[in-house]
Amino acid sequence: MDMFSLDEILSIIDSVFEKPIKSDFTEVRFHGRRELSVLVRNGEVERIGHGFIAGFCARSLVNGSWGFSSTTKLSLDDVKSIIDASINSARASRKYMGRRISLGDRKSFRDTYVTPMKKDPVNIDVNDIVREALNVHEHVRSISPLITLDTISIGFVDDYLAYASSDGSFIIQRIVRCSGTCSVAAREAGNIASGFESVGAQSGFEIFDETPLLNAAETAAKRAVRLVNASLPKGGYSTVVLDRDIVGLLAHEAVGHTAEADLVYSGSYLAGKIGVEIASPLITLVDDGRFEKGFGTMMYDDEGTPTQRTVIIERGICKSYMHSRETAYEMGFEPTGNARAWTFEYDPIIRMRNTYIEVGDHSLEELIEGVEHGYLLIGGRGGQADSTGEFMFGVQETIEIKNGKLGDHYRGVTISGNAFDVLKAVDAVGKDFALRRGMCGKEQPNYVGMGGPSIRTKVIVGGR
Amino acid sequence: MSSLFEIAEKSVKIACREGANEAEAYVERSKVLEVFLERNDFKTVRVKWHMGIGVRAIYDKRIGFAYASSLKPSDIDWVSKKAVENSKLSPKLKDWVSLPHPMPLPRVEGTFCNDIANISEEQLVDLAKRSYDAIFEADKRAKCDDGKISAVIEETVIANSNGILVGEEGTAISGYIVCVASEAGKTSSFATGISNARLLSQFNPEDMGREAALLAVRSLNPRKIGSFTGDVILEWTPVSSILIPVINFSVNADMVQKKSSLWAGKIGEKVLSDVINIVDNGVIPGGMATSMFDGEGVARRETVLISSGILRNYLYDSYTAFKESKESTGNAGRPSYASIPSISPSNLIMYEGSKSIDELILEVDKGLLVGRFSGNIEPASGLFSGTVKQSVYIEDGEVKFAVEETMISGNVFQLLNRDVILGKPRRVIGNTQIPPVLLRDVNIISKT
Repeated sequence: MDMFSLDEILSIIDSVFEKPIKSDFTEVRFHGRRELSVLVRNGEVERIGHGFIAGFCARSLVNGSWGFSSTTKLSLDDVKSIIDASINSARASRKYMGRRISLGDRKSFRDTYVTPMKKDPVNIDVNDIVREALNVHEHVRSISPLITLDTISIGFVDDYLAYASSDGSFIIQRIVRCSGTCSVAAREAGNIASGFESVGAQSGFEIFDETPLLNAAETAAKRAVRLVNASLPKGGYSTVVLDRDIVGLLAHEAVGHTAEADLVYSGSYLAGKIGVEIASPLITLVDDGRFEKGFGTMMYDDEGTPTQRTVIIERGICKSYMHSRETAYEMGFEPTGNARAWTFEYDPIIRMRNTYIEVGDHSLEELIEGVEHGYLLIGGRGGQADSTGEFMFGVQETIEIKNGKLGDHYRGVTISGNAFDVLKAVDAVGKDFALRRGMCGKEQPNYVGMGGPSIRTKVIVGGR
Repeated sequence: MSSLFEIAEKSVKIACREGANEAEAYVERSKVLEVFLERNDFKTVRVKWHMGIGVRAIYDKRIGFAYASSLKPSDIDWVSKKAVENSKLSPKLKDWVSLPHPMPLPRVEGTFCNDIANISEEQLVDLAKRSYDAIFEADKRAKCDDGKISAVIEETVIANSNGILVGEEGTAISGYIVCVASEAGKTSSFATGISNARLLSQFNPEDMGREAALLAVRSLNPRKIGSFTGDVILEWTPVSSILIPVINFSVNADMVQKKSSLWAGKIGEKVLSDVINIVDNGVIPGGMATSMFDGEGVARRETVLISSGILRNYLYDSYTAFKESKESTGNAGRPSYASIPSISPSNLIMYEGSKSIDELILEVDKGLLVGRFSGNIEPASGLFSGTVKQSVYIEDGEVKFAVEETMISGNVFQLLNRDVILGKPRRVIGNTQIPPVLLRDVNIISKT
């Protein structure tokens, strides 16, 4: 399924900068995305779909202002016209813009990167994928007659990214992400409960051998059935053990966003806190652009900056923010490789990559043993956070802990608190670790990884 | 280049020639002009040319799909063939009847605006500037964190092998502004102002900026209030994020047929408080989702969902309607050419009551006025739980102070069956038109 000629694309990009461009800086990106998604609901194959998008964008800096333009037409003339449009847009906004953007000099790169993989998804027989999805459906249904709805999806996204800039960089990356999801609803009389699990990584299809979707689906199905007649726990400020998925949400949503330099400018919680103790000394929090198989991994960001492992919090002390070229120059740091764009229709903004808390030395059992009265919270369900560090996110299941022992199961709740209060209250960190796939929305969506070990702390549990 | 009509027809022909019994092509082309704001300043002006095609092919009751962001003849060929290829890989849908058939389409008004179609970059930046100015006029403590205004002109064409060949051009302008307010070294939570319209004359950048600024300032100097059961007034955005998803899910014929909706089998029964009236109206003049036809080329119309608390209808696409030998209600939603149709409301309208927000506040002994909800909703069960932002504590009919680290939770079905008071005015939030709503006996949870 070759919807574009790679050679043609590369020769277009190569020739664009042959003649000088009438801007202070211009970058051109090509993005081709091939996608397959199979969606099975209640055993009916609702979608077997191949998709394809491709386009160019140009971003230009003129007199300290950005302009941006994109097109789905792939000829050299079209690319030239969007470069012109980006320059015109930059000039249009100059009249209104207060600040003048500078980027500083940088080293240019000519490099190529391809996701390491054993089973390239483009070579997988679609029949096998459909069969696997139906197989997962049948297994889910065999678990309980209370299950009324099961939705299984399996797919991949194959991104082909080419970046070239007027200062001499030329970077080609092919990034492949495979994922599967399963959501299950169970019903008995007027009670409905749901469970959701997913697997996925930047990897080939071997990820489904390493972490079978069937196992994840079984977890989701059993949870939905278990919770169908469960009630909500009693709400309040409580000691909790957060599982790895929820710690991932905490690292990403509640802490990570406040370390994005654009939000630091708006006065986020971490503004002015470099070098300040903001968390328990047990906490080290990292945003890693090169984590093996991470959903957010890329060798270069969408400004052509090499990615790196950025330590945000080291043993409780705030160490760094995440930067684009623009914010790094302005604040006097090096760019961290966090400028990412969802597709060729967007200019890059500061985004996380793979954000996680590093492991400690407690087993999950030890974390639970230390709780006199509280809850074990399991399974993330999305969340949001504020620049103040105040966050909320959903958890799928709540298990009561009494005198260090697990007790009754309750439905999922929403938990909230201030991230930095929560991180200061951490008194033990687990040694289990998982990095999950995730999607983050901030003006535009993007793929991210998030994770960590289980931790023990205090949050507000929104209950009955 | 060929017209979108020619492209759609050609794609259907190719798919049928390749062996499809039925085929449908959905083609769109748009231009988006966008100004993105960041850090109290302009960040980028974006010009995007966008197009694509999505093809559904049906072979022996099996469905295949493919899409591409290109309308070149070779790509039309690829996408049409790929859809047929995928249909042959798919198991049979035993309830499949057919794609829809041609039918008369309604006339709609207020969906195309020359001023939006021809808007310049300078004009768009100027609208953003008016929003910015409104922020500072509203309150000096507020500043803009980020924001965006997008002007879109879009042409959509659908063709299918039963003879449907329909096309429509529309415009829209939408924006949001996110503000934070600071005072004495403390920063407020994010507050959002929004505005959207089909006609430029109905777009109000000043209101959007002012709304964001005033909400941000309202959340300054918050206090904790402890946990109690009280009254909650949901303003427009939280109504759209808490109540509407539950209603959308429950009236979705697909969820009804799969017995996942708690309203399955309840047509004619009282399901909500008798003050509640809800319709889906795809042809209301100037509605954000107003169009002549839905994502399958079926005529849009008005469907009464709830009248005086009684469930009247569900929302159907062709597949779910034909399963029950009914007519589609014209609710096949299609966010883009890359999506297959699925049931979604057009303009969902919940009618307003007679009390203003100030009058609703007078009804509250002890409770909250909620400006934003950030939490989780389980649309099937109606359970919700989450934190409230830009929210203020009310006692004895008077607003006291802003709250922090406060959550609300409950069950939408139960709350909307109690003593509900609907406020006014009705506002456009995305594709909904909704009033503020006062709910009784909501769980309010806070750290004391």
